[in-house]
Amino acid sequence: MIVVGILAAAPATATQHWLTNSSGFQIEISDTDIVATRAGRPVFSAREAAQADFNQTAHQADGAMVRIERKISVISIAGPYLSLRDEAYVELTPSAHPGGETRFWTIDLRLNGTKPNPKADGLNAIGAGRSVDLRKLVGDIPLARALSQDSFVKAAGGAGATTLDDIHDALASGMSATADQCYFVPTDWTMRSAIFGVEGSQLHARLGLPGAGTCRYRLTQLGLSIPISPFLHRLIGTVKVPSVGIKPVSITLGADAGR
Amino acid sequence: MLDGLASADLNTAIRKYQTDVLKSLSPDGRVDAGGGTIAGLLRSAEPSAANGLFGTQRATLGPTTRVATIEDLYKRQFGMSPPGLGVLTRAIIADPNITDIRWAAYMLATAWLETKFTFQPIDEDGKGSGRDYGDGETYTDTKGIKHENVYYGRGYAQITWLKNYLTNGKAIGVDDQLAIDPSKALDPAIAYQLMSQGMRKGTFTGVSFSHYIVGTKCDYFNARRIINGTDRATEIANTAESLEVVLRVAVL
Repeated sequence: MIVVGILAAAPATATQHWLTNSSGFQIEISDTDIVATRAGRPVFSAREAAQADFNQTAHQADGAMVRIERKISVISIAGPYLSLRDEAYVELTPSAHPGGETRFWTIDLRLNGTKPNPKADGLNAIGAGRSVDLRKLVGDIPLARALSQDSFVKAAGGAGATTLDDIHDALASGMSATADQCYFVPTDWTMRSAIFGVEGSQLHARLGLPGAGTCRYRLTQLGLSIPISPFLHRLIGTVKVPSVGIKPVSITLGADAGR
Repeated sequence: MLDGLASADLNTAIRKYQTDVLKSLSPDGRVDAGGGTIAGLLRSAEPSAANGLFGTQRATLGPTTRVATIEDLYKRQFGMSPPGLGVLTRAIIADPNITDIRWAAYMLATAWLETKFTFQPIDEDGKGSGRDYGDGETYTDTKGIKHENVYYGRGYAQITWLKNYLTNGKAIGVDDQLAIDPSKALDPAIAYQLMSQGMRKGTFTGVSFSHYIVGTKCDYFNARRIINGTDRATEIANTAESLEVVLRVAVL
């Protein structure tokens, strides 16, 4: 059996670098990767996570050639929570059309390793074992209250909603309300979040709803301002964001990676 | 009385089903996505069902199936009235090759996602911008004439790339006309033929309905492999289950 390694295309000369610390983790953004370490030991690598996701997709592809292009950027590092924006293009050959999506993704760096979920489909596999669910982070009722204040949720008919189920239903029934909207509400919708800041006792976050079908790379963002407990406030501490000009890390894996 | 209408009688029947079969204390006459009524109806739809109403996978759509009933049930279940549902449903009903009601449900579920829930054959948003295929490609026909087009996603199945326009165009009998003018894939009749042929014959990925939905086997999750790996497989499978109920109620 011949095992062929697949090398990701990467720029030859470094052009960007950003380094910060948070809750005992060091976060480093380079041209080729986003890496988190603790006491010098790596606990997260965007490239490794993308590779694990690629391996799972290839494993499930029934012999089809797989190509995945990722553009991953850091939104923030808030205590142990690393928030990312992740745009993925997935091409299987043969297939009717490409797939992929854009999503927010917050990782709890305290949890171990990159753990693809073997039961998950497509890109939901990546980091599934350590993704933060906003429901668990802030609670169902505060999350529902915050969502009901978002203008997009209000327009979808969720203004008076008091539960997450009601908000989910309002968003789902508004999926084709107007021609310029294009989103859908996936089963893991509360796990598609990013932390944008903390102001007083309020956590500012966003939930990202992916596009559907023809608009698969669109990201519809719901803005949230949620009261948080003193414990969570202390855990998050100061929210750090990358310097202006730091670009997404591009990772291309698979068939004809360099093209 | 089985009149094929989403009438007060049907609503009463659903309430009765909820009370008698599901033992619900608060029957509401609704068949909501992910709800207990759907789950119950789907259990009833198993091939071994003895009631004869939801029968087996052999239950099929036909000339007497009322499209208005399907549209009305869809609105009840999904809370919206998509503009293209009637046209696409009529095309499925008229297609003698669709011999399994579950194929119809899965085709509708595919179009549901691929067309932004409109059930209309539409262009891909952005038309491939930022992707390799968005730069366009040249096709040279048998007369040596060059045709420069962007082969982005179009139609119910959002076929993309020149090779798909060529092979699937030939499969539905229009030779290379889709490679010459890919906008023809937006014509509802052609878009339907592309989806039907591709899913029945496996011309998109090499696998077809017969691999996943045949006899007593019904694997809606992996049926996505007919189109594109497991991209959005869970959501499409859930929708196919709901649509299967809609169709089965409609053909009663």
